[in-house]
Amino acid sequence: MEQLMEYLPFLIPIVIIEWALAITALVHVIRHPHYKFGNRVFWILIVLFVQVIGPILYFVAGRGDSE
Amino acid sequence: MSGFFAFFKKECVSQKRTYKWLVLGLVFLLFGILNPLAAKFLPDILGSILPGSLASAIPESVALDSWQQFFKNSTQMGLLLLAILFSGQMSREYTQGTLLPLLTRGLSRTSVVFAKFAAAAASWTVAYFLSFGVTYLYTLYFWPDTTFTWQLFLSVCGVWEFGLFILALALLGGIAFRNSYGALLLTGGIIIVLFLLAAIPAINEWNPVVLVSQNLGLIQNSVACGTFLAAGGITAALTLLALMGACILFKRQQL
Repeated sequence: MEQLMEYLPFLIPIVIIEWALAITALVHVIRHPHYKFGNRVFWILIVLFVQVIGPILYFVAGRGDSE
Repeated sequence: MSGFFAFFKKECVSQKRTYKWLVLGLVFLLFGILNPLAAKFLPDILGSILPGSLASAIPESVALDSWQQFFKNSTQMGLLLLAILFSGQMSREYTQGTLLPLLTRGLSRTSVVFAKFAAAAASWTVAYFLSFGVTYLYTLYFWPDTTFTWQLFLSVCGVWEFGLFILALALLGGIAFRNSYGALLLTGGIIIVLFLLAAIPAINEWNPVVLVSQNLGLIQNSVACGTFLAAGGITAALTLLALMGACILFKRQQL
């Protein structure tokens, strides 16, 4: 427990960044129904369950072009 | 010149809308936090896994470990992410035909190339130095005796300059091949060739890859600063050459 407290100043910002990415991507997936490949359920699962890499993959490769 | 600034502004908006700012900023921030964290706690984690006699043989981590992580992450994942993010910036313009109305109204093609490069370079600069700043502060927190040496500064700037080189290559590739795969292929190809050339001792000192492979050596004084400056000069020249090549190609192209 003591060790966990030592880690906290780092874990909190890391968790915030991971979730900021995941939630921004999730909102985008839900509001924009066009993807370069895959479908909505596929991208929701990727974005929520593959931390960091998932949302990046979505924004770089999966996001449809219509803005 | 006003064309340059107008297009630069448009590029910034477009980078924001395509989530480049978000991805680049957050990922580099994450790297910034993870570098010192990994350096600090790796011995602890290893110690808890390994049996007692081996665990006591692991040396305490030092500030240098944190910089080792920083240079490893920013030169590998960081530069890869940068190349992938900015490889598509020309192909979008070609496929959507968004440049045509601007060019017919008198925007010069040189302005387009330089504004695109400047906007990408600005994002890279902010993200990279954000990552460096966070790593530096955490390193200072863990190892209070850390000093900011000019070798470290030079080393950090080397990676930054290499990032600019990659951006120029991606732009050149995007214009030459008109799609993002071509841009990535050209960038990756040239980097691989440079790494292969690094095996030839005679021109080793002048190779741009010195900037991303000798960082720790520079900090530990095993690599001379002159080597770094020479490689930096060559990289700057190559970056300019790539940008000029991009301008010339783009001027000859039919949209």
